[in-house]
Amino acid sequence: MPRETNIVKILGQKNYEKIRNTKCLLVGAGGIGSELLKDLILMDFGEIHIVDLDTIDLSNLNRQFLFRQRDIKKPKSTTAVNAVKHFSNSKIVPYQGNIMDSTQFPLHWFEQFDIIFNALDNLAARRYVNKISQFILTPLLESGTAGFDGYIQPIIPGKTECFDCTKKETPKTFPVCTIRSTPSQPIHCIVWAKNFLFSQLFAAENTGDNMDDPNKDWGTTDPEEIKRIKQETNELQELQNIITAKQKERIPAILKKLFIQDIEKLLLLGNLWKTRDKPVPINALDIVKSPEDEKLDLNNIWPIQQQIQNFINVTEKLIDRMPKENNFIEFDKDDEDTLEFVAAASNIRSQIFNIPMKSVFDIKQIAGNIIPAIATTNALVAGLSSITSLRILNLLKYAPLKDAKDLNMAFTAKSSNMSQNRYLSNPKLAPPNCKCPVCAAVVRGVLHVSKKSLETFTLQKFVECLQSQYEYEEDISLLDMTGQRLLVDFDFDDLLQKTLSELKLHDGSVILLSDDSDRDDGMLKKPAEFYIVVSGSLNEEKMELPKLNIPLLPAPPSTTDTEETSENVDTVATTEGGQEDVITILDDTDTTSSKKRHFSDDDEGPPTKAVKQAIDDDIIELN
Amino acid sequence: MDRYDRQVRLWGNAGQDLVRRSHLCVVSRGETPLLQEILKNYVLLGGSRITLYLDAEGGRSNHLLYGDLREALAPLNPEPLELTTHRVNLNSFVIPNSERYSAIVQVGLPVGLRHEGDLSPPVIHCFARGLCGYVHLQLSEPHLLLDPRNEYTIPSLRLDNPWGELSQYMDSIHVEQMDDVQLSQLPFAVLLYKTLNTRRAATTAAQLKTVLAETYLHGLNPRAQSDLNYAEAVRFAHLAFTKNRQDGLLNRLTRDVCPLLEQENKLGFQDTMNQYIATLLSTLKRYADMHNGHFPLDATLPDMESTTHNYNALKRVYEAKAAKDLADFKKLIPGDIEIPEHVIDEFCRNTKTTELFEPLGVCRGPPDSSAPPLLDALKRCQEGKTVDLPQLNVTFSYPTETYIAGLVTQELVKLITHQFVPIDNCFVYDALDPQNMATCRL
Ligand SMILES: [Zn+2]
Repeated sequence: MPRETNIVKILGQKNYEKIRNTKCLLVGAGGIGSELLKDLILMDFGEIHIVDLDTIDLSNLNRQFLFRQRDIKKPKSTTAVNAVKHFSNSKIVPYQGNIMDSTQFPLHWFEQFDIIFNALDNLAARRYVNKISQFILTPLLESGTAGFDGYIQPIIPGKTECFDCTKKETPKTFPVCTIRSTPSQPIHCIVWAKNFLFSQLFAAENTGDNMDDPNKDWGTTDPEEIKRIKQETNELQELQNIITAKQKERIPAILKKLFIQDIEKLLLLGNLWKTRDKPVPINALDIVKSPEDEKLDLNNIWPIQQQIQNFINVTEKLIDRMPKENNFIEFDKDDEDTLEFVAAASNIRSQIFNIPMKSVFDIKQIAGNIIPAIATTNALVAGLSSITSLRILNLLKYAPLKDAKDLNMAFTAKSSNMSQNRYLSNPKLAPPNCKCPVCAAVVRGVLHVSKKSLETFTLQKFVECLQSQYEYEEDISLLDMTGQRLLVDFDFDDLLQKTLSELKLHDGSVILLSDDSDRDDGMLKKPAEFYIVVSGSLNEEKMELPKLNIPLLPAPPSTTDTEETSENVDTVATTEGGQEDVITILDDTDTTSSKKRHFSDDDEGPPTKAVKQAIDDDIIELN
Repeated sequence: MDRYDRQVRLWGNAGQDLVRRSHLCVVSRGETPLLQEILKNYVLLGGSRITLYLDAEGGRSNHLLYGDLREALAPLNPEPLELTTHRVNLNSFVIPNSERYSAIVQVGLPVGLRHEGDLSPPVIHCFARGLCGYVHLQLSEPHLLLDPRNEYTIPSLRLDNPWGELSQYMDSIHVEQMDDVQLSQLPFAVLLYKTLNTRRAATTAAQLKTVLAETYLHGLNPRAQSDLNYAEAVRFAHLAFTKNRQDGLLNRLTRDVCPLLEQENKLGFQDTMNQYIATLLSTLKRYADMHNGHFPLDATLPDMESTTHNYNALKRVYEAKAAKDLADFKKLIPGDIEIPEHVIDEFCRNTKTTELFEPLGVCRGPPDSSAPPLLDALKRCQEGKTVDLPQLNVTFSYPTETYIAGLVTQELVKLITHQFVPIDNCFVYDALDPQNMATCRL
């Protein structure tokens, strides 16, 4: 290969052999992923394993240059690999799957790689891979784009800050009562249409919410309103029956129920409208089906009569689809029927609450959490990422890397305003943030347990082992980070007699052990996080705890109690984890200034409490 | 809802249409990764018309992604690809018919090429070697912006300089007869207007805040301390004053921009959008002269804490004025040029942004006295001379070329759509030593 001689020149023969023996993991075969795959191949990396869960969509084709019209609906990972074969010198292994699936991708699978490239589109997976890289101490090259803005962040575990060392933007949340009773912005109506109405009508699983749970938080203490929300949910179930029974002639009844009767009931709650404008139900005379289904401009805002007609038309289409799709249609921003349903329903609701309506185009962006994406930003971020990988792996013969902190992050922005010099900024990497709950504030280890012990060990025995091995005092708490639940703490011991397998701990579970004691000297053991690897046979009882030195640290001041109570506990999150174009990336270029970074650090509570809080909060994620 | 959905969200359908209709001229010695990557990105974005000039002696880099360019590029865009390739002698080459292109990209050429005629589209010079590279935008005529897509624009509330209907509306709100609940439901613009019109004069945001506290919080509504609308009124007090800013923009338009455009106009503009926007800018000056120094109002109101009813009522006042202003503005546009409606609408929505009055290439200041040393080094490389910098003495530069190509195409989109501010005007990149990186004006 002539390519080889070129690369040898820049790397030297020895380093060239090194790159030929390097195994990369590329997580994501989307916008950045396609570009990175090409770049890594052209740099002659020995082995590239590429993971992606998604299938190809038309809206990918403006940037994911390895895919064609004919590839739509095919898996991204395998299609990408087929497309690069003809110019590849590397061994390429595709996987279609979710990187967070510890059955398909257990910890030891990650250990085979020399470097990990994140080319992901969602926060949850970014965080997960970041954590894995901290467990196995493998360098991670994180990257992301949003429109013209892009970034890369090299992460060298233990030496430089990790992905979670700085606070990330989290999805917007809304109080339930705003969504259900008192919307005041278009997004409130869109969330209602998508997360409550659509999912109830077309994607309801009959288990549902436990409405009778006396501890359920409704986001309001008004008993009248709680009663109303309960009743409304039951009535929605009746509407769902209209859909599943294919009673198209009763679609007007759905409209009457949602947009007249329910609103009239709301109006009876006088105290809601003391400081707000009263909603106005739609006119029953407007509920008429149009003889034909005309094609409308999706960029325009249509009058209310048109919205109602659209609601009827698209509901009919969805009813026709239901039996073919096992009575389960999920909202998908690229599925036109589902999008148009949500658009019509939210616009009708907007009209009722005197909120401006939106075009289908705009609603798609909001409901689908769409982040604009272009080929150029992906190309340049992938370029930056691949250049940086040569430095991380120390492959440049004339520029040996002495200190991991000599590596640079990179932020690129559309602005070329010279005074701000933000065209490309290259801040040096910071050391780990000592408050970071992922890389600094916990000790980490891998815990091996045999299949048999998983069946026989009780939680009590397990906790005792941990306590004696790491010298924790009596009061500890143990959290299952994977299942997001508390296993045991000083006033919760119900589960102690259950076995580990009964507790659904499994290969890939991550648990967090923290010190809850109240020592006179005000010191606490540092929390420890364990990745559980289940191995060995069914016959042998065995548990291997990692050798860890868990230090005693001064206890943080307990300011968290007030935080916990002031948090708004009942919220609707609009995130859609794991899908294309979903999660807000760290696209705020202001994060390049260390001032802001450290400012946001101050907001973070001590790690154990932060984790607990996440579990205590009743965050409803209705996707 | 299509292939270009994700980028139309950045530059709109009109911008995408400009990309689709654009015609790119690319000149390169041979086929290099940088060339291929630029073309790949351009076609992906929706461009399909390319005229490519290669040197008769130019070869192919041995590190290429694509074998046959036409075969590789055609599937990246559903529109038929119009790629014409010419082999020429670059040493004596003059770009023919340069005025018909949307932009020219010169890949790795040491000196700028000459072109026929007086008019030339923007030219982007670019080069990458080893871990370094540069992008340089050269303009032959001012580049005018239709929409800078500035995320932070200052709304033009005109509370300090209201028109008749706004005053009438504000005066119809009798705050002195309202109870504390009603007051808490007023948009902050109303509170600011009322404060401006007390007997105590305020000419700065700080003064206005003081008067607001004295007359409203310690006068009219002592219970306002925790009201959200009051908090917004304090926070956005500066928005009450729009006159100075408006005067500044008008001054810039009259003093700098219009004389310059008149001069330029004698030659004519190569770029149609530049021609449109230049016409609109001179119309804007005439409009301002006839309307007491005001530009057409933009109806975009910021969100305000208030009842929807109150907010919508206020919004209607702004919308009515904006519609009337736009109609008046359209009447002033000279009849000899036909400017698409959406261009006029978009222009009027953006007359409050500074970037509109800073034509790139002329109004943003003189060239820097010295170019960054790395740029000189890169230029010596281009001429085939050896340079004593390890990061330059290598021929393998695929990732760098990918990066530079990304930048080049990004700038192309900004230029073609007349949205976003293009680079002004040179960026020099060094992956190894960020100290060497620089943005400069050549
Ligand atoms: Zn960290």
